[in-house]
Amino acid sequence: MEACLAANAAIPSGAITRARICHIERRNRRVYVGHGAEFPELVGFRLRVHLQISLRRSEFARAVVCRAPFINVTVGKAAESGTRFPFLSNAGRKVMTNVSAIVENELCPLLQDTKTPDDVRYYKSEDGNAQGSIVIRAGKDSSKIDFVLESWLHATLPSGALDIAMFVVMLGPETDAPHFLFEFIESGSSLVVFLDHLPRKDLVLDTDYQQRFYEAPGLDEIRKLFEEAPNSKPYISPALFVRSILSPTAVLYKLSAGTQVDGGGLEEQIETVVYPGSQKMTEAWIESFLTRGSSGCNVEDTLKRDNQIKTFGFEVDLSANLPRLFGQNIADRVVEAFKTGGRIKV
Amino acid sequence: MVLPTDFTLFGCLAALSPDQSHVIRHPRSREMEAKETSSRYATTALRQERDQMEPILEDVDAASNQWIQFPCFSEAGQILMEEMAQAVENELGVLLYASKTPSNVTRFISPKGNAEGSLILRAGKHRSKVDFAMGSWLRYDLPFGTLKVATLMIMASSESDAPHFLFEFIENGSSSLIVLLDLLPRKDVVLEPEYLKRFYENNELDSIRKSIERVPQSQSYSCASLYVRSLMSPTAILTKIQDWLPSGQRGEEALAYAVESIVLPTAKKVFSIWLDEFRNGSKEIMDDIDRRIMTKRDGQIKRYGIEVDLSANLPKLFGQRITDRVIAAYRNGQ
Repeated sequence: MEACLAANAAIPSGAITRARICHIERRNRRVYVGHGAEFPELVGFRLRVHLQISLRRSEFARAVVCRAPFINVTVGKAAESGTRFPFLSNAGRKVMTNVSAIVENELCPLLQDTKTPDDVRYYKSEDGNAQGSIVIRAGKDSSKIDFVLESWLHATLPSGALDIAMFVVMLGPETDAPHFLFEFIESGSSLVVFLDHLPRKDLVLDTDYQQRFYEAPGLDEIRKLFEEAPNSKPYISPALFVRSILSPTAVLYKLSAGTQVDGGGLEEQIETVVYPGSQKMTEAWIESFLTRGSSGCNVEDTLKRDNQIKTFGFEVDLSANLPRLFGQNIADRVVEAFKTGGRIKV
Repeated sequence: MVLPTDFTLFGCLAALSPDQSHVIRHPRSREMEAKETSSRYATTALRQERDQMEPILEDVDAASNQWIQFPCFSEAGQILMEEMAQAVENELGVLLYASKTPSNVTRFISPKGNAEGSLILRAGKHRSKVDFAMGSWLRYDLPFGTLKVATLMIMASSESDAPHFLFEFIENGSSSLIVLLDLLPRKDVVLEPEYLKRFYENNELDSIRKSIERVPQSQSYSCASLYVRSLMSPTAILTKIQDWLPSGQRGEEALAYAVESIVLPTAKKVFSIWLDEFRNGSKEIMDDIDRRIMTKRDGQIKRYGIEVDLSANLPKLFGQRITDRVIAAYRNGQ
């Protein structure tokens, strides 16, 4: 919502520290007064949401308070609202939608419609401090794709807002091309980026695999873009297993805002480093998927390995963090949807 | 200066007058040490014979019991590597044969004299859990300073699934250090997370890695070789240490301090964790197929991790003849 307001009022979204709904009008009549609202019966209707916002700089406050800020919204189903990744910064959203667009352009005909239940496509904690969404689309039968997963999570924590966006393509055992992982974590004035082609084989044993999917496509050059960016530091995942599923050319970096006062530094990092870097890595992955994979010898081992990645890589992560933020019920629903959402059952 | 040698050919010692600093050197076996004490001076005949041989290099401390030395390094660097080599000898000496590496591989020098190296291998005894212990170093002069690379590695044998131990220490002129310290996994830990848990999670390896990460003058370092990156465990220490200290001190003293108070204790800690795992945590692989896969994997590590590196770098510095000798010795494993 902060992003919408900023777009309307030409305020950098970083300048807004808090936004609160004062009241909501439909056709100039108040329909709701209070903080948050869900209007399942009003899907499709246009509302005007009046806001009270707190800003970081006093000159902005003077300008906006006079104009009584409001935004016009069209009430939509949570998962189909006009904005995907609704809580990311503008620059972050551009990155995520670009990456998913590149993948979907190529893979759309190979994917089934999503069967993810509504209450997993959007879920919210009881105290309203955390919201999330996971959408999984399984690959069609002969597609070589297990599933495509898109998710976001927004939490207001004592330390500040946390936004995690993820885009994953897991492939089936019919091909040995790597899986695709992109995770984008915004919190405060820093950003963590995970971007990788996850290997399907033990690279120590199979040197041809490394040559085919990591050296020939020049992935290390893309990683260096992030390594050499200003204010960039390597990030080490706390989970040893996650470290071990990543490839030798994995992009795993924490980017911080520069020393500029208005926080524009981070948006600039996203635009000049993350956007082009993630685009290159995604395009290289598409190329690998379409042209460099070969059909599995040793399907059994590949299946076993992929299952390990799903179980110890993703499930464990979800099971550890979701209960804390959303409670056990929601966490179980989400993990179940993850387990059953793909073409290949865990 | 009294200089020992345990040529199996000669079986006794040679001494040189101070102005002659070249003598053939061999790592010592225990039998040779006993003979040394009885006679410290060579006869004229022996000297003549020795002089006819290909002049190689250099001196060794008579009283030392070291299977490898690191003469070209900074003082702190030399102490570091020799203490670690001593630890290998102390803890694993009983499982290792004396080195049979030919003398023209235990020490070699480039025709122009701008590069020197040493490779010393000690084979593990029959059916022990060690395949071999390897010590090596290289120094070469570059426009901006001298690069010195030291390696200590213990390759575990197929008798157990213990990780390999790898310690590499690089002095970049006198401006920075690079440290690589790791327990190389024997298995694909994605396929077998139990291996990860047994050797990497239930101990201090990751907190040691984190404490190095927190050292202010350290920064993360990436190997140029993707293959070497893929060999490393998730708790590998791979760091570059710059020549300054938080106290403001700079230059060689800062590096020496870092070596003594950070690198050496860390290397010892990791080595002792490895030793514990090697002795107590490792298991014998009973399944034939698994064992064959592990052996194949180890072969890949030896070939693409180490040999390829040698084949790529040595010819430029030492020429093909020396390179071939070194690689032959390495493949021979002793």
